[in-house]
Amino acid sequence: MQQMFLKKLWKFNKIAFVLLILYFSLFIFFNLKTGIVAAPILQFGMFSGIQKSTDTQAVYKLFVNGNPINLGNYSFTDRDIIVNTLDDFANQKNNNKNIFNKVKLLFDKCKAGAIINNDNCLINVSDTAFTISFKNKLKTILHTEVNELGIYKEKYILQNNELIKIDSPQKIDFIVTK
Amino acid sequence: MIIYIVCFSLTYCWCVYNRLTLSLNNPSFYLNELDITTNLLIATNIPKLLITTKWLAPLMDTLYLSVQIILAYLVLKEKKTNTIFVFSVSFVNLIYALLLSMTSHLSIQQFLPWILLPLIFANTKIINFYYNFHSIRLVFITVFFSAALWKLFRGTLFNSDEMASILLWQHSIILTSDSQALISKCFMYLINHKYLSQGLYLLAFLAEFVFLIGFFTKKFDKLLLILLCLFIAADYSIMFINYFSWTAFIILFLYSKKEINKDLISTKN
Repeated sequence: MQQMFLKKLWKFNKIAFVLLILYFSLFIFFNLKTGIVAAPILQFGMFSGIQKSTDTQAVYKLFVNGNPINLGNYSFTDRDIIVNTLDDFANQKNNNKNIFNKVKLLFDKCKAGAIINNDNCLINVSDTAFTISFKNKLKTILHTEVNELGIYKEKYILQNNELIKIDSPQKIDFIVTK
Repeated sequence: MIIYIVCFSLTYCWCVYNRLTLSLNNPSFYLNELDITTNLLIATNIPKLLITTKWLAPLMDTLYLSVQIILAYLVLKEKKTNTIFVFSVSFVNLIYALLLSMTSHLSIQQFLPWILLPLIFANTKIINFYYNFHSIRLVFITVFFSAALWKLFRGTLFNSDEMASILLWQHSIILTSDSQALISKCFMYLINHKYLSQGLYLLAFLAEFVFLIGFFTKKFDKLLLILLCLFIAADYSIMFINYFSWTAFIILFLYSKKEINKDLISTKN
């Protein structure tokens, strides 16, 4: 039985035993605490958040050089690169600093604020800089020069066993067109 | 070690092919997460340097590859590995994983094998290797089993709509770009037949839950190995998520039943 393994480990090397128990304790602590982790101690939810099929689905629509791009024609990795880059850029604009300040507050509460006290470590990326970088990324995926780029978000819901578009497409404002 | 090298090499080749190394990805921003380690890393300015300079990304890529090669060489040639060196390999892999997950769509979870498995080789003495090996085995079982507990305690197991909505969210692009394609029709069929798709979710839960038995006995490790492989294959084919790197964890179940001299087990070297 594995309990015997822990007993054997205790007899063999008490430091190794303590390290292993410490890992399990921290794992349980961070998982129960929810909301914050400390890599490599992570929450492995694996799609364990409640979702509903009635939720609105937001889908990106890309127009490159005036032509619509069918993302369904590309590999799932390339689709993930395109979609996640857009989602992540939008998220980092709103959240990077807030999250850093939250963690800083936590360190301050534990009287260890000096460890994380670096206000110049965050970067501000302009929409123009991101658009240039994203166009280069698209160029390697689409194998075509990207001169004009327009990105929209379309909303869909599941109705009568199919996805129906609702609302008019919303233009993504952090993509600089000119 | 051979399995580790093969899995790492294949995963790395996939990353290179898809331009998902730090230098090929050429990030222009990073995304913060509610993670203490990530924010400590941010406070060191390393992610900022990664974005604003051209030299750090290739340096990190070179360091990441180099430590794997050195570790592989030392282990395969049965040279002495130093505990500090092995922990350094694991640490380098962790930092690389954090940087890549902050600047790409890859999850740090996909790098877990490269963070945990090197620790098995922290000491070349067979008795230490035995304890390192089985400790990492328990750590992995905890990780995998916790996914089952999350599904249970968050109630998603009892939400008949869960898998249908996951498939809808995960595949919304192909469902809206070509609804007549065979793959779209298959996914829509699963989405519209909620109990069938929830059956798949239940199977995933059971595969994760069965790992509980690994805490108590090694008798069923071959079964756990098969379940792990099926889980990775299903993740790839149904969810289009690449967790191939986790195939390296089969090491923990393939060789778990090998025992060493019982006298050695209770003796500290």
